[in-house]
Amino acid sequence: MNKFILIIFIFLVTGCAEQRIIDDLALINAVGYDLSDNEKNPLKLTVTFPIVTKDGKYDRKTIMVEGKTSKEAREQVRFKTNYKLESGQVRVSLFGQELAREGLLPNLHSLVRDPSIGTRVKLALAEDEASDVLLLQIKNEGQNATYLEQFLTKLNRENFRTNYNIYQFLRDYYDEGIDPILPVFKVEKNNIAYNGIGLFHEDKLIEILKPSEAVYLFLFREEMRQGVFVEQIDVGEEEASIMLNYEIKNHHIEVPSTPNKPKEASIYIELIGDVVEYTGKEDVSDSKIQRKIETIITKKINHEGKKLIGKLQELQVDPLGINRYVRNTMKYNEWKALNKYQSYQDMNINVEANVILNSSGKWK
Amino acid sequence: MIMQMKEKLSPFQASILIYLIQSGVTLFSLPRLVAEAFGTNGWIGLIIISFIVNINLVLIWFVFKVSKGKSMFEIISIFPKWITLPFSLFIAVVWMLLGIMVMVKFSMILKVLFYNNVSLIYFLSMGYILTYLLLKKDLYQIAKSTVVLFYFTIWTVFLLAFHLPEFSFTRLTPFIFKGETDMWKGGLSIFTALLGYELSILFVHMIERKPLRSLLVGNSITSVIYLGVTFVSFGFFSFEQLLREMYPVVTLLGYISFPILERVENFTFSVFGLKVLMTTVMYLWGTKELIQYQFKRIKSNFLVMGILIVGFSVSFIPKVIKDVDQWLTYITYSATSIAFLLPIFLLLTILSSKILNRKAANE
Repeated sequence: MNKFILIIFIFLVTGCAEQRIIDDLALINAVGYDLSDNEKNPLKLTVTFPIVTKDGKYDRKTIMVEGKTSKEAREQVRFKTNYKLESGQVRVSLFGQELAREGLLPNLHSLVRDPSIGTRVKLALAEDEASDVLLLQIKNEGQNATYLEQFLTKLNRENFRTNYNIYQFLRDYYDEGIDPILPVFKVEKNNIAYNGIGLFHEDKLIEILKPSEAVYLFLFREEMRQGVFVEQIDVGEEEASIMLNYEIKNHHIEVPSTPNKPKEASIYIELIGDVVEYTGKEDVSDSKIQRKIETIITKKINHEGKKLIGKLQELQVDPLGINRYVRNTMKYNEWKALNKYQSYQDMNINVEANVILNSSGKWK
Repeated sequence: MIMQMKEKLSPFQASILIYLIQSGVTLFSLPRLVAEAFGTNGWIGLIIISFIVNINLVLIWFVFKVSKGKSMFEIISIFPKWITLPFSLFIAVVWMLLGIMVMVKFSMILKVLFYNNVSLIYFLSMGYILTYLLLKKDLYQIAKSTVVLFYFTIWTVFLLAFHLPEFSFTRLTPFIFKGETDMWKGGLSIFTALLGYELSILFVHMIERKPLRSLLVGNSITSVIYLGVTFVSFGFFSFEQLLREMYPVVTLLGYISFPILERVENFTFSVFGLKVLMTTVMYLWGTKELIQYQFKRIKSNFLVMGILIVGFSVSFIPKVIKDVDQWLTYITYSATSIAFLLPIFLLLTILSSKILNRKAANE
């Protein structure tokens, strides 16, 4: 008897849930946020989703609307498509530069509040307008969203730790000792290209670092494990180009504890590199030359690093998280009373790199 | 009574039973609650709370020891039934409501997070059918199924390993219990996350051997898991972020990515439902035992049906999660006081009856 009731219930209870037929869904895979000139509707929202056309071709549709807020704009999108909108598959969220300068937090909040959106949605900036990037039709490239997602994952794997998702951005935003960063993309010659790193002061974009400067930024960030280093050096006779594959063996930031507020910080890094390219005439397998190269590169990193950090201090952005180490040497009340950005700006931050050449590759 | 004595619980089963009653729906918000209550590095506070629970468990064991292995009902049988009736009913109602509200809250979170358009009635019907199937068996059978459910859910603990790459000791900060703290109220709300162990007063005499150890082990399993989750959360989220995460554990689950599967939290969250189910089942079992003691003549099966029907109708009174939280606050406060006062009361009963007996013997 009981089993009978049970079976009836099992059949009754399943299948009651809402039906969603995949052909009828607009599975949004990327959203873009921009500021618009329209005063009433200051937010420009661009969404893109894959569709299958009537003749069976895999295609995408991109819709651009203007609205007051992101969710209000999303309602507008609903009126512009015959599909049912679903945001559960959003992979990338792009922000235009202008909007990012005003602050990302309101839009991030509406992303993180929505339970259908995961916290692993990747974030990125568009050098100009996010809509340009999403609307661009690249030849032989189906979905811009997939392209961007793959691009971001690749950057992350290839020693640019730019993999910033909603969780990571909010984590660093709410952590008082570090500021978030985001990768920047731009449209160029019918292609989407990586073009540096956006630096944030709290949730506002302050400055975009060029890729060449960003290399040094990543060198000093603690998540870095390995990378490629290309530089022009002058060992003896003339300037030559050298390329190293390096591995970071040691990375730590030290803040000596002082009675009042810390005035000094040092970043220590130790690189072990293999020469993969050298265009000079010198014999790079010679240990004397190697030592020379080591000193030159070490000096170069110290110099460039110092310059970059000086710039970061002036802009009052702390993507390296120096303040976290400052915090960890202080008492709670002192830390709370501290004017964090001002003290960061006034600090003397040293870079102490140590470069060791491991080999000259498989050629003498 | 004779029915239950037939088979005894092994220490392992008893420990797992305690663990599964304890771990319930509060786990999802636990790291935030800990942060709100104790501030920075609040996970340390969890150790203190767990220690208090251990004291309570020792108290329960003490009742068992002093009474020389009698069950709770044998101890209170020296009172006439009409005296114990209001107390039993009060405890029964508190336990029943607690069991039900835990399930209602889980279903509501499930609805908000994953199944927006599914009516609550389906989740609850499913829950009540499963509860009924377990409740009509006696405790030994329930304990056996908890072992299966234990292995079914324990693997989720290892998912924490996925968060280690994002874990940072620097983020933990050296500050201990700083920031806005609310030790008393917050501490109490964390204590309620460990509630459930008090039901052991009904089955401590059924444990085959080493009852104290198995009770403490049960609580330790829960505490270690809670501590692990909370500790990882404190290094995974920044402190201010943790305070703003409604359900940090759901976010933790959601952050895990597998090579081919996306958004696995839909599945893992539902697996957690089994733990919630056990909490509900055991609280309702406690209710059943209490009412059965007061009214011996009611058939057990009717009683179970009655409790479930009442429970089912009550579960639709609170409309939103906020209401359920409000209910849960009051209910868990009562349940906490029951957890402490009941064993103390039983101890006093045993001791005074011993003194009376001795006096009677002397005279």
